[in-house]
Formats: sequence, structure tokens, C-alpha cells
Amino acid sequence: MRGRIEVDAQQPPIPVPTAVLNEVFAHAREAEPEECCGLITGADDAPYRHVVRCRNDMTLWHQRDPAAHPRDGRDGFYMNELDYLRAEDEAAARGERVTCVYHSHVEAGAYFSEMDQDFAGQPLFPFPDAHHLVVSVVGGKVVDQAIFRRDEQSGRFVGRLVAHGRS
Amino acid sequence: MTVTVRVPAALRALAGGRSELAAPAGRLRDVLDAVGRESPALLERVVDAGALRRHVNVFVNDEDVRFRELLDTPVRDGDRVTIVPAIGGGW
Repeated sequence: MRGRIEVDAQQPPIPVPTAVLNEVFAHAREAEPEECCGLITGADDAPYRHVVRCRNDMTLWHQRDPAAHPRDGRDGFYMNELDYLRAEDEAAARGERVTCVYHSHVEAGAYFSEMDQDFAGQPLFPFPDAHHLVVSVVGGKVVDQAIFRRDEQSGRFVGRLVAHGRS
Repeated sequence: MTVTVRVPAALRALAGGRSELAAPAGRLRDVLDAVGRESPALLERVVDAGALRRHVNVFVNDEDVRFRELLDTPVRDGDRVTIVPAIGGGW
């Protein structure tokens, strides 16, 4: 068992514009009791620029085949493929790229779960260099957030605190 | 007439850097086999033991082949096949 990855509070926080965080938080609150998911696009000079909401199809998959997909949207997310392909194309048209994948955990903490690691670590993951922003929603409110990204040397995901930056 | 196969960024190195490939129409498995003759490593990442790999999906135009006939889904001249790695997770 690899176990979940928690934030390393010894590492400096990663600044994210407040306006971007607020958009993600609003999505997380609206999606509750289900998890939300989406992408953040940007460029080297401003990696967190645009928030693109994507549909979470996990409940759809669960309803179609509960045996193959035992989770539903309350404890998992499956990003709608057409939504993310469109977001990727639109980002490229703006001269941007996908820099971050975000999702929420409902009634759970802002950690990087084994399931999160399974998807993000697969060889075909479409955005291997992207950060992963995880937002914790408890009682309908966003109570915590963290960013997970690969350590260049070890290749492992490490968790960092998030700091509100300039909008 | 052929079909266009859109290659995801993560697999383009296995397709000579190309974002799109051409293949003859047929069943989806025929289209992917044709891609595999040109880029065997690419096919290997998409299909395993005669089925789509876990965490990989394919669309024909805007239709998810999981709701059609999987690798037996017909692909007609002019159709667009898109290989799409999955993004997911959960607590």
C-alpha cells in the first residue's frame, strides 16, 4: 500500500491567484455532495490563469455499471473526456497549456489519495507535468486545499500548501 | 478516403511526433491495427489482449465506443477517431 500523500508543511507554499482559487472553491461548493473536477490553464509567466470546469461523469458510470464502477461522484471523479479535450484545444488557441488539474474531496481532507495517484501516475496521463489542486469540502464549505506535483528528482508526488496570490 | 486518428500528446513520441494519423475505414480494431503497423508501440499502449487498456478510451467522432461496440465499432470514411486517456481520482 502506498497510502495517501499529505502536504509537506516544511515546503514553501505555492501562490495561486485569489480569483482563480475562488472560482475553484465556488465549483466545489456547487458540486457538493459530489466531487467537482476541472482544469486550470496558463503559461510560464502565469501558470494559473483560467479555470475550466469539466463534468464529473463518475455517477453516470456508476449508474451504468455499478460492479465495474463501485464509486459514484460523492467519493470519486471521472473527468468528461470531451470537456477536457475541448479545454485543451481552447487553451492552445490562447497560447496556453493545461498547468493544473483540480478536483474536490467531499467530507474528506485535501490529500492525494491512492486513486488520485493511480490516475495521475499512469503512463498515458495527458498532462504529466501538471500540478494537482485538491480542495476539501466539509459541511458544504471549503476548509482546506493543497497542491500535489511531481518532485523532479524522485519522480514522486509531493504535497504543498497553497498561498493566496495576486488576482 | 480514410479516417483520421487523433493521437494524445502523451503518445505523440510513439507516432513520430504526429498529432494525427490516417488509416483506412473499417471496424475500430482494424483502424487501430493499421495504426499499429505504422507505430507498434502506440498500439501497445492503447490495446492489450484484444481489449482497450484500463484508463484509455476511444471516441469515434463524439461517440464513446464504450456505449457502442467497443473495438467492433464501425468507423466510416471521414470519421475522426480520438484516443483519450482517462483523468480521474477520488478520496
